[in-house]
Amino acid sequence: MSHFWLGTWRLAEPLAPTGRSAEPITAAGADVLALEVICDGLKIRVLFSTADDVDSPRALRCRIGFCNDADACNSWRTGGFPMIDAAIELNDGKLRITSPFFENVGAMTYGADLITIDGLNLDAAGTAQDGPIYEYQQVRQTPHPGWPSTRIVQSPACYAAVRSEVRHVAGMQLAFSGPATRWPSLVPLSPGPQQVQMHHVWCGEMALLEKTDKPEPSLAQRPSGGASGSPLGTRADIFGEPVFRFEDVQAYGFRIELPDADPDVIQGLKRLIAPLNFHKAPSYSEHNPPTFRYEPATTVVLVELLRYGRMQLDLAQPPLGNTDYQSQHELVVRALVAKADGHLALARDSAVYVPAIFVDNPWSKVVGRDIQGYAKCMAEFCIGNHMPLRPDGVHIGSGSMPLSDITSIDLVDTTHRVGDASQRLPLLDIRYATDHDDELRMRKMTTLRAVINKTGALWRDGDFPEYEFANPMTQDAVWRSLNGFRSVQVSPVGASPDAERCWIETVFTIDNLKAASPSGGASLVFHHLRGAPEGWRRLCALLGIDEGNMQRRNFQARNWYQLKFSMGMRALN
Amino acid sequence: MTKTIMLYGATGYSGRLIAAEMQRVDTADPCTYRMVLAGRDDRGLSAMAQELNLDYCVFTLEDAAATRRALGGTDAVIHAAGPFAWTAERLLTAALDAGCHYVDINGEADVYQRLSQHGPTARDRAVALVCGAGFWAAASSLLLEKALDEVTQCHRAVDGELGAVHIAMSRINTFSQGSARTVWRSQREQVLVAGKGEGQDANGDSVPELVLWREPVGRLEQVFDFAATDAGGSNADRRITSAVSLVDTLVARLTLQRRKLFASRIASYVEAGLAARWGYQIGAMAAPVIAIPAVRALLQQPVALLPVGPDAHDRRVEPHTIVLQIEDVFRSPVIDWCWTTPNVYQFTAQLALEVALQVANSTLIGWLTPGQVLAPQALDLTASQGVLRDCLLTRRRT
Repeated sequence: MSHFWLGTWRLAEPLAPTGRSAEPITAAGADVLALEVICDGLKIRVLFSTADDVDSPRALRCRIGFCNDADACNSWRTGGFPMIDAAIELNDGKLRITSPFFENVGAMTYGADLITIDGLNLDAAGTAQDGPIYEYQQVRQTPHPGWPSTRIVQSPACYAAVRSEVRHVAGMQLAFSGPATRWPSLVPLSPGPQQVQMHHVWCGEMALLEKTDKPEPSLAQRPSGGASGSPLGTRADIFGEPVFRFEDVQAYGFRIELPDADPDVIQGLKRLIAPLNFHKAPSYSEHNPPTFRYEPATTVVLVELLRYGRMQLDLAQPPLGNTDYQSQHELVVRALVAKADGHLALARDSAVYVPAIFVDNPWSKVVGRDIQGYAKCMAEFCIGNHMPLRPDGVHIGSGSMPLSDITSIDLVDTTHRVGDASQRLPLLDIRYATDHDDELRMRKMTTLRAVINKTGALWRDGDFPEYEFANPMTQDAVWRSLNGFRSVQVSPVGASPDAERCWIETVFTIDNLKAASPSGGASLVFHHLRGAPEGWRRLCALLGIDEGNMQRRNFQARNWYQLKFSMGMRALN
Repeated sequence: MTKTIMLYGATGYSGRLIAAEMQRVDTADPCTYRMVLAGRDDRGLSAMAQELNLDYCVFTLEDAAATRRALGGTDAVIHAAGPFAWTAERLLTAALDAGCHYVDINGEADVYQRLSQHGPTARDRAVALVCGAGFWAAASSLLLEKALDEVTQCHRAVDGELGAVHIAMSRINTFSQGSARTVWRSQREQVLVAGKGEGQDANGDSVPELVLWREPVGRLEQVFDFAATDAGGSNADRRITSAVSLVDTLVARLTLQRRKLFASRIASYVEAGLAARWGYQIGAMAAPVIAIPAVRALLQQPVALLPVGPDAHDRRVEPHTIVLQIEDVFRSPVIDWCWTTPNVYQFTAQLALEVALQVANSTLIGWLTPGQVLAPQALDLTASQGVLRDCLLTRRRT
């Protein structure tokens, strides 16, 4: 059982709707606010909500929430709660939420407290009572399958939890403090410090499902909603224009060359890209689905470690301008796929599919999952003896570290502040045979084709033994248009098996390209982690790694590569 | 609420026939529909619109923005402007963007396959796409829907399995230029056949599926009785047919798949006389030579000499016959129907407009077969009126 603490209070003056998504608590107007803290050992969820009534709330709407349980955060978010991964600590009644934010113009701030709340006592004595029976009335937002880049489907979803041993606590006061952030802004609770007198506080026990395949919250089944919602305006109104710019991108890529004549490899690759073939499910046969299926175009899979120096919106979205930027590290698995019809000689419409991707920036994770169809999960990118870096590559006490210093990528189970100890859940270890001087070897390239020819990076012409994928058009489709490539993912991420899905296609354009074929070798140790996302586990199965085991793979010169580039990204309808 | 039905390619041969049908409907019920003729021939459209007392609209498919604008506010567009390999996808994508239902009379299997990829998008955007709503595919689709209803009711599909499904059509004596070009293309391509085979699910594991494969032209030949009499009678009209790649095969496959039925083989046949059969055999072997552009251009000269299409007299005296045969798993005939219809071009006009009217008034969305659209209307194939006027169905065996 988990402990919950729910407090409600009325604002001195009701706030009119602002429509500013940067201020989620007040965007739709606010009169009565609610704060709920749910603790399950060290796993904490904090929900900032608006409520319909301060004395007997029946309907709450979570406007922004924070969660340090990475899996739970994904589940809550899929259910319509705007949850963000954050490091959360609750000690002696003081709650600290650490999550990246924009304060000054320019770089995002990492590792600082977004808000602290003093005076929270989950074990406070009180008067036993039944407590309010309330439900969260949320809205699940998914890309509209017909116009995935510009429209959103909003589906109502209601949740009601089972609570017990409820007691009413009188006269509790909380102290909120935090910086004056531009985005996200927790107005009216920040900037602090400010004292808030709770009108009512209820504490007690709350039943949460154990971590199973069932999504949180645990809550009773949704009594309403779940039917296909209606498009509500354009995506730009809610998330901003889905056009992004990435600068100062560095990448180390590793080519995993699998035997193309091994039927187990072919089967493993098909399982790796299985989510793309959702239209082959029996439930789709009633809709006259197209005859093609996505097939792996080659048995070469790429694993890349990237650092995005600057990720920014292409167009200013106030309060963010196009000089504000975030950073992140990313571990990504790429498979090249194409549409194949069994009765046709040639495949077509090749694209890059990402079955597994890990990042260390929670906001990037949210955008990737909600908008782009990337099943991003949180990971730590560590140097030395498993010391995590910040998303901007800074190690506290040592400054900015080069990308090549990253030696391990660990899955995040519980988000914690950088520098705090945590249980290690390794996904990948990286070792380089020599200290290669990257900059001297980097050469400017004008096209991706030149990168392939001169460094052997990415996918090469010889990677397509099957006739239907060897057509030059199929190969060049990925590289031909102005240094771009197309990617295809499936949305929504984390949906239930019976949810309807759609493909989301994105075009990436590359410029300012530099490449090198580093000297010496490198080795990767893949860990088949039991709790890892499905895509990673399928990759490990493809590599022949049993669950709980690891495997080392060595990469000689020209089987791994280094890139530096800038990139634009645009989703397609 | 008035529904707007647009016909693109109204000044073409098939377009004129469809426009005449539109005028017939408009005259009978002027308040329910607003009929619009469309195309790129300003003068021709103007004259035609005046003659038929219908609205018209001029735009070219090469101007995507203009096409989208023109389709804005249109409930359904009928596409009758070939060659569909060039024009269909342009109008279809514009229709998707404009939220307009799309219907065409395409008879080319590869075009059908390509357009079918837009099915998921159409469903996501709540738009109906019906390809092959003319004689090619719509007639056999309608017949097959009715036949499978009876097969299912009589429990003749053992565990959802059937034997062969054959669709055979009588020869067309008077081709239009467009149809002749389609037939000419099919000479050089292999024949598309469907049947129960081994497909793959999302994980790549084997599952039974109605798969498609190709057979050499001229290899598959069958004899069908085209007489509108009981089987085995002295008036049987047995003719040799040769399998060809028709949209009808693809539509039939989707129909069975939707009903969770499997067939050992699904193929479409066209009556072939000695010359045609000889041509199929030679065409298959000479395909590489025929593919040479100069040779192809030379051999296509006679097509240009053909009339645009059969005149009214030819259409009246040249009805058409479709034979549908369905076997059970024991290869016993379950369905042996013979359906005499008006001339293919006239019937195309009747069917295409009816499909467009149905989608405009229904909630059907996604990639649809013509039979899906028409069958729920409970068309009585023996009614011989309305859209099915001048049709005669003979059920020889069930």
